[in-house]
Amino acid sequence: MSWGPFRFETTTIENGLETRPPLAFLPSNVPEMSAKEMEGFASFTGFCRREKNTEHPAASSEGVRPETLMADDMKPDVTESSPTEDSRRFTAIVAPELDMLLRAARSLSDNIQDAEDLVQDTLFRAFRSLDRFDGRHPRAWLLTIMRNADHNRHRRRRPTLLRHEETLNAEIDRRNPPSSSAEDVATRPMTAPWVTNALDGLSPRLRQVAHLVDVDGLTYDETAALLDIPAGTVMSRLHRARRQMRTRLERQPDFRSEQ
Amino acid sequence: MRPRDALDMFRRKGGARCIEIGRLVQSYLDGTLDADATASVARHLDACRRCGLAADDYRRIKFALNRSIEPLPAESLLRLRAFAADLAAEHTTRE
Repeated sequence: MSWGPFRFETTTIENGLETRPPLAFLPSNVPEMSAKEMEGFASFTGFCRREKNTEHPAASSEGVRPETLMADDMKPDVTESSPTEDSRRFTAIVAPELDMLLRAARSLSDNIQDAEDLVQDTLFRAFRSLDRFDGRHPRAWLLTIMRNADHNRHRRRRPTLLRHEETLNAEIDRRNPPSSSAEDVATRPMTAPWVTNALDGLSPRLRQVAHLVDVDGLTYDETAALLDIPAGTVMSRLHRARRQMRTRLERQPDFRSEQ
Repeated sequence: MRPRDALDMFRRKGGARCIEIGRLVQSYLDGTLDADATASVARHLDACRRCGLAADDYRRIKFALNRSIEPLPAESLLRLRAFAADLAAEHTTRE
């Protein structure tokens, strides 16, 4: 078992590295590393966490790099000099999935900025572990990486290992808030109010699965990878969600008249 | 539950076949059943009005949810594309 990743997951900043104390299950006889060793090992393994938008060339401190706003044909073509097979493979895997990743991240985040950060973290991790990817089910692979990145993000914010059911539900609720306010309904394109109301009436867990599968278009397996639950659980939650929505909607006069 | 209540419930739900189909209808609409089960559910939905209506309701819910998708901010996608391209490019220049 590699201890490396856990050694660097603390909330303190040392020598420009964001690090975290070892988890409770680490054996006590593992020696602590000095800051210098830590820096060396981090740069060797790549398991250090970058400070937000400071280190990676794709994320400058100003936020958007000027060339990202240019049209594709105006951007400096850094890949012109014969890109390696890995780079091509990474681009081929990731490019078609960016929309899906951002949608999935939006379901896991409080706002679009956090969602964007989560996707960037996911891409960075995916790139680092590309050599370990067997090429099958790229979506599920990326979503699994996103789930781990999301877990780490929340552990950093709230370092507690035991989470009560109510806390978890409240968190899902916060990330996927009911959107039945008049403004939200009005800004949602082509949304029938009855479906928004029915979705909002579900429990947070059922609403999250219904949103990921029926709104965002993930498959059962992809949703299972993202939420770290069995695909059978995704299916049963989804079916329960739709049954509850149908029961609710049967009482609404405009439900069966809408096409 | 008294036998009479159980019988009433059974009749309300439309019989054993309808109960069985009721468990499969959502998977049928999601396209996750095998060919035999798909054909069997399709035959029943054609013949049974109650189950056919239920399937229509689920179709309507799925369709409405699918249409309710919110568009992604274009600038976020642009930044992410640039980020992915830069990751790949950085690797290339390192080689």
